[in-house]
Amino acid sequence: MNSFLSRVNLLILNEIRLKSTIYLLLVAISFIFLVFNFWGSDSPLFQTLDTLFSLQNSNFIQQNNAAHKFHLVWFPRVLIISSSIFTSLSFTEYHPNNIANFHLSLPATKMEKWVSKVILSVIIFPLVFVVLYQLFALTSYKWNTDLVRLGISDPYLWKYFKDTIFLQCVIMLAAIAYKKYSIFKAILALAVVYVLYNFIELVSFKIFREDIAFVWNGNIPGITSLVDFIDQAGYLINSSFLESHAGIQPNKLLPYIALISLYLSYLKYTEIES
Amino acid sequence: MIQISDLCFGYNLKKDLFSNLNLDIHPGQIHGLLGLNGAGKSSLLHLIQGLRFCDTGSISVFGQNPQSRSVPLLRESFLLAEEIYAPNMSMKKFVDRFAPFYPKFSLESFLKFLNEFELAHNSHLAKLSMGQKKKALIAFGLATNTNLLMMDEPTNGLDIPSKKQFRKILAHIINENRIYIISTHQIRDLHSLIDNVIVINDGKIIFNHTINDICKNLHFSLAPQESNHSNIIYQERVPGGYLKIKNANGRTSFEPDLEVLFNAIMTVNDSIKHAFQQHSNL
Repeated sequence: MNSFLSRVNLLILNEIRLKSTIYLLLVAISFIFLVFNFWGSDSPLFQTLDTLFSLQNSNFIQQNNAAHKFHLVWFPRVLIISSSIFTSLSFTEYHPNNIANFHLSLPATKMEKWVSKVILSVIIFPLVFVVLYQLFALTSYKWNTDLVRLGISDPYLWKYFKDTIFLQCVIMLAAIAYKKYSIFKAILALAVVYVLYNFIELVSFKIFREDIAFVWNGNIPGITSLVDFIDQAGYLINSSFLESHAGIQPNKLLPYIALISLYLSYLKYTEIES
Repeated sequence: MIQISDLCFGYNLKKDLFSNLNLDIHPGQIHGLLGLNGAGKSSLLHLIQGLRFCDTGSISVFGQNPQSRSVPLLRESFLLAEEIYAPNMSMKKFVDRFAPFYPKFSLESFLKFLNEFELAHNSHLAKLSMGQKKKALIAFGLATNTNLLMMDEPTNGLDIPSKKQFRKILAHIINENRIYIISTHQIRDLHSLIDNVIVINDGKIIFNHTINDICKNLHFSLAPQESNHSNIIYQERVPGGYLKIKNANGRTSFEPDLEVLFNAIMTVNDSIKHAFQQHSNL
């Protein structure tokens, strides 16, 4: 127990053992959802969800079959949502004081305790999820070879994985900064960043790309038209990507936001008091 | 050794819990930390453990700043909080998971303490009563063999035989390198164990004397009647009569009643201070 690695290793094992119930429950619920989606994509529940997420109108989905939708849309979404819920629970033991006292007093450095959380939430959980998905996809593919699947070497799979990791860094910061509803606050913060980002890009395009026309009469928009106005910018920037890719909305800022969030989460962790 | 200098700390900006608190705590003793509710006993323990950060001033524990929560320091300090942490696992698993962090942890001692507390090693922590959980965690804390052991209200929830066992164990394991700090309301449970009495009030240490010093400076006697004699510093009705505290004037009390002393400190602290000053001037 004298090295950084041995202490981090023990902290990760302790965390897995202490949170094994929530860990297994999340993976189980996610896969039950995916399995039901796989065999029951025509059911009213999934039709409603498709409508809610505007998948019915997507050119991408209309041009492809349900299996595409399952592998390229639902798998990444479930991956992101379940990983985010898990990450948001990373620091639950620091909120009741009696548990926080014990964990903060454990003889390991602040860096070791933080690194163990990051490895477990940001890397291990999504990785385990991807491995289980691969097993499921491989099995289902053997039953019906007409279906597409994301193979282990498929670049989309690793793009989903990478985006999930980036997002987990942001959720990690929210989990440590907020005691309650951290996941919702993180999503709200990301939404604000996303809207601002699109707005800035819109203004940049307006200035530098005169060849792209915008339908805007110059008046200050109301709330509904403001959302349309900002969406338009996002669409222009990302339209080529959206045509080929219906899964995760790309965001060029996410890697930078992830790195900053990760650094801030460490700083915030060092300030934790019981 | 623990050195606290000019410590200021508060939970809000309007009122400091501690203002310029100074305290030196020496090894080889069991220190009793006493105070009214909300006086800051638990907060002081948390500050010493590095679980809270002071606003100004400094704390040094074995020459290190506890705020850093460095591994060498955390390996030498254990805080048993009043609200104990008993995760959903057996005691055996608890030890397997957390004992490796403490290099001086003795499984042999742990099993011995469990045996004295009449607890089975394979008991499930979540299924134990509050008192049993406390005993399990006390056994773990004592078995870590840290040089600094702090316990916040350790006898709360313990039954009478367990309190006796606790006193017996603690009396046997204290040595000249170790500092034990026990914060308690239940002074009677531990009065025979405490070597040094520290009283905290209004953000300051208002009393910090060893039992030997107390015996040399104050005389405790039981009388059937209340008395208005001028040499009585404080008197309080107790079972069997009135317990009176007087200036020792060369006489030695063998067993001061710490509960009555605490009440005297909270009521007539200036007179108590005066008695100690008189003796030191002699």
